[in-house]
Amino acid sequence: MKKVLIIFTILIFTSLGFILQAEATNCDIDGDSCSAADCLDCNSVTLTWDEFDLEDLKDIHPYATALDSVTYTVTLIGVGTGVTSENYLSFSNLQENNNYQWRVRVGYRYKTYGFYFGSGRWYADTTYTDTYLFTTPICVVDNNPPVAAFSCDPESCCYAYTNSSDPMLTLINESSDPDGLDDINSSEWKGIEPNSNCSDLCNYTVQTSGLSSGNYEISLKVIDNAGASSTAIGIIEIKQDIMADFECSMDKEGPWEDCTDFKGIQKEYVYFKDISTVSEGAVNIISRAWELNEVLFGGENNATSSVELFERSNIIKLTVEDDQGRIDTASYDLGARLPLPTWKEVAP
Amino acid sequence: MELFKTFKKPKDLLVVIILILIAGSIFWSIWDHYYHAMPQQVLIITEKPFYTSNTELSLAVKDILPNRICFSSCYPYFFERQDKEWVAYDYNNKCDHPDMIESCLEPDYAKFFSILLPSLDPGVHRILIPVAINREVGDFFHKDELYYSNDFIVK
Repeated sequence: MKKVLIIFTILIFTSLGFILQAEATNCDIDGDSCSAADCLDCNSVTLTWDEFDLEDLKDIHPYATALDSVTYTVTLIGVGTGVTSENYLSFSNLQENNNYQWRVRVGYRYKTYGFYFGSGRWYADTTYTDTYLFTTPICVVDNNPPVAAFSCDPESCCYAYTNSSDPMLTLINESSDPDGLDDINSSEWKGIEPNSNCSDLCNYTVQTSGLSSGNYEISLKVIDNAGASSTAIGIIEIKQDIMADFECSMDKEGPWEDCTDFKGIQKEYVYFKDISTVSEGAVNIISRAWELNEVLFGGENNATSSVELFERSNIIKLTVEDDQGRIDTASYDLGARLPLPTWKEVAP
Repeated sequence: MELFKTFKKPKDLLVVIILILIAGSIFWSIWDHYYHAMPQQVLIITEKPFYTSNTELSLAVKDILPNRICFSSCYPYFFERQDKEWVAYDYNNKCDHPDMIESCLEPDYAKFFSILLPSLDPGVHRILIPVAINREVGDFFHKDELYYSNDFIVK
């Protein structure tokens, strides 16, 4: 008796296999023709199947006259079960490197002819539920994780200077993925604020503003479409940059003052002394240029200089360059007081 | 002595004295009224209404006070610029000699000065002159009053 039941069940399933042709979108489920190109994003899947209609019903119940309602109970084995009246259902959270099977159970109500006692035929509602298994596997291709890597641009100098934008240090994202670069979904740079995230393979420009000199660890994490990730870590050096600055005085012998609030006197000389510091690794300042309102004065490479102020507002600028080729500029807006008032008595 | 003979009684002399006092007070009141009605001013007038920085400005100062006015040797005048309110310029605050009275002007007299304008901001300006009243040349200067010139424009 058991054998009869098993054979009967197999026959039922086989026949329904022709009725419900199942397939999945977003992901190839043929099982025998998967490729990375077909199936790059298999952590979610939408399963679709042919609708169960009256013709299908008549194959089972020849006397059925109408199909009232259909409910599909879909089970993606190992993931979950969902119920729908449509002929599709989505599942997510599929794991990488797994193959899945799924099945659809159809529940339906139908009408059929019946005979009404004494007055001819009559309709009868009948509920019938059956289960059909689909054994076609969903293919989830084996995902290859990405490989994070980055390098410096320019490659020869993986360092930057404090408070400097020239040359700007850019880290080049050289990450790869055996499944193709398109499989890399995002990149996350961390180490020096502001951190940077992007939705593909992006480079990272180091912002050295406000940083002190030293070594900084930079990490790059790349994540592929399947959620696999890889992290690369590198060290970059932030060097102390050249810092231009100078002090002011009304006398060439000093005392020297910070020029921020310093005020000169119109038509009198103001004296300046260079107090710049060279960049890391440099020894000397090789050039100095003094400017008053964008006009050069004071000769070349003089550590002290002076100029007569004619205007009430005077922009004094010092540009210095050290023997490492680092350049910086300091400038102050020097106000000038009016000179002591004098007058000369004249004839009317 | 004949005069005294006109006074028959001592009472007459008293009346005359009282009349003299009354007349004196009347004259004093009249004098005082006109004295205060007189212009109590120092006139300070520029030659032109427009100037540019670093050019020469001619200035007339006339004392129409009843007093002598005297000027500082360090800061005989200041420039002020109108910026909603009058704003004084920031001057060199180090005078290298004691601030003495260098010259004075007697009542009803005038003096003419030439000033080389420094670099000033464009706008409406005036000259402020601090004076000491009734002092002598060589005294230390002490500001008693401030007087202002007419307004003029620096282009």
